[in-house]
Amino acid sequence: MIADLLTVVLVVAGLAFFAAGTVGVLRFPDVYTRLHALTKADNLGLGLVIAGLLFQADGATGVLGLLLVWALVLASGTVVAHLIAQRTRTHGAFESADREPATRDPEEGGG
Amino acid sequence: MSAVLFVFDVMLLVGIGGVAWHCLTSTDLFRAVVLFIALGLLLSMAWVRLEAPDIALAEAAIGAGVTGALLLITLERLKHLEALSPTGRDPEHSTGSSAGRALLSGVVIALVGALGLLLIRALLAQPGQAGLQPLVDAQMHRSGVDNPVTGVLLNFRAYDTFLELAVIVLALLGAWSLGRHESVPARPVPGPMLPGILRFLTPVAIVTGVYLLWAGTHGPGGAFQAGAVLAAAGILIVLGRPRRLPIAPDQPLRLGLVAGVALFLGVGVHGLLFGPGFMGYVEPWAYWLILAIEVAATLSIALALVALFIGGRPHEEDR
Amino acid sequence: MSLFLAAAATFLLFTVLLGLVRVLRGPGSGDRMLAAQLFGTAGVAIVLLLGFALDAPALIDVGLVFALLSAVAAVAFVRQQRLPEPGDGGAGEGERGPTMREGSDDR
Repeated sequence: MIADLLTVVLVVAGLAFFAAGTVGVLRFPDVYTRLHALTKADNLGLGLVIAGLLFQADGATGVLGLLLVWALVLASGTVVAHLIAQRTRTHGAFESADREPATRDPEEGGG
Repeated sequence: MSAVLFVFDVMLLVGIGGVAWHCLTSTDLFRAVVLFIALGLLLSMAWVRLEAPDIALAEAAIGAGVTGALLLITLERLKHLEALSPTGRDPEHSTGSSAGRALLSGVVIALVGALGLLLIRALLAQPGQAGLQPLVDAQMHRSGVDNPVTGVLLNFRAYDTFLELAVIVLALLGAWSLGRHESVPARPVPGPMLPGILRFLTPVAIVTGVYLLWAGTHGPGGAFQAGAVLAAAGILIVLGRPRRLPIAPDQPLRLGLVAGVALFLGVGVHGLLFGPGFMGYVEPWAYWLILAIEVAATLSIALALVALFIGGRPHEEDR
Repeated sequence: MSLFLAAAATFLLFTVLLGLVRVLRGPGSGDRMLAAQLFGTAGVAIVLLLGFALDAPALIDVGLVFALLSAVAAVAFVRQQRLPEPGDGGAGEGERGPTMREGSDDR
């Protein structure tokens, strides 16, 4: 009973973060801000959903499986966000077309 | 509950149709590739809804992951080739009159529509029955494994799986016959993040692959899924190369590639010689034969997929 | 509880199909790839929720593979040099990282 209540609360919170992350990805003006929204959905959204599901898991294998998925997404999600941001940055300081292009970094060369 | 799942299925169908349409009609190739990866994930969810977790695993691993990485590297090589010898052809400008194209599109749409209607009619006209499940369940105690999917794939219909493994090796031979490997240097990624995440992901991928192989005997998993995840681990190693690819020794590579097919064929002939007929297993040994075939097949599939990802024949004169 | 989890999975699928709009609109390759990442993570959540809603614990393995493979696709993306950006002329960008290779095409 308590477990079910906890699951519902945690999963709803996770869904809220996923929705917020998606809205951010759609509405933010820039790659970097969108990445910021993405990582909130990745970490908090999935984290809360898995935390809620932990109360529904039966046995150690279920719990361990869920925790492993959580750890994997945490680690890979954050690093991937960093790598995408770094690639966009060093590719030529490409900015989104929705706003003014920022001044380029002087050490990135002309063009 | 079934109403909620119905809504889920409808959204999934709309999503699959929409993503597939945009993927095929996209003029930007990179966008098409990313849509293809998304399509692979959606299809995997569709397999989950069709109660086929084995295929969902295979679709996620091969369709979304390995093929996605393969298409990305293909895109890079296309740009590389274009940079070397620009053809000057504008890909957006198609040849032929617009009336001719409209007529062709109309004919194609009409044919596809007719095929779709025929399929729906055939589906609705099926006699209601449980399918093959009762037959398979009745014979599962003779198959040597607990998972009915593995029992069908590697025992009752082993011949089909054997031919599928041969097709993968043939596909690799076809790719190798097109030319030698030409290394395009990867974009240098400064900083410790990329090596760090590769150092973390590669062992996790290898362990997951081996786990899926073992789990295939009694749950969703099996040789194809394990091979695809191990191929993902191999792709991570290939992507992490500092300057150029580590050259794989030639003989072990070729042995590994044909090990699956060779062992499968050996077991099949063994069955021919010792009783149950071609591709029949002597019954007390069925589990061990299946396990041996799966291990060899996993190795072959993983090596073949990584070799397909690398592309051309390995350089022999660079030793 | 199964009903709630199935409804959660449905809501998540709807949210994430909306997020695919970012793949369509771009405008940069990073935008599209991050939308694919969002899709991968939400896919993990959907599959896990379905696993508990439909009482199929094997779906945790499917979620694991989803997570792994979307990371692989992202690493493959980050290692590609010449992916098109809006603003490319035609022959594609040479790489502009801290090291310059001779022979790469410069704009």
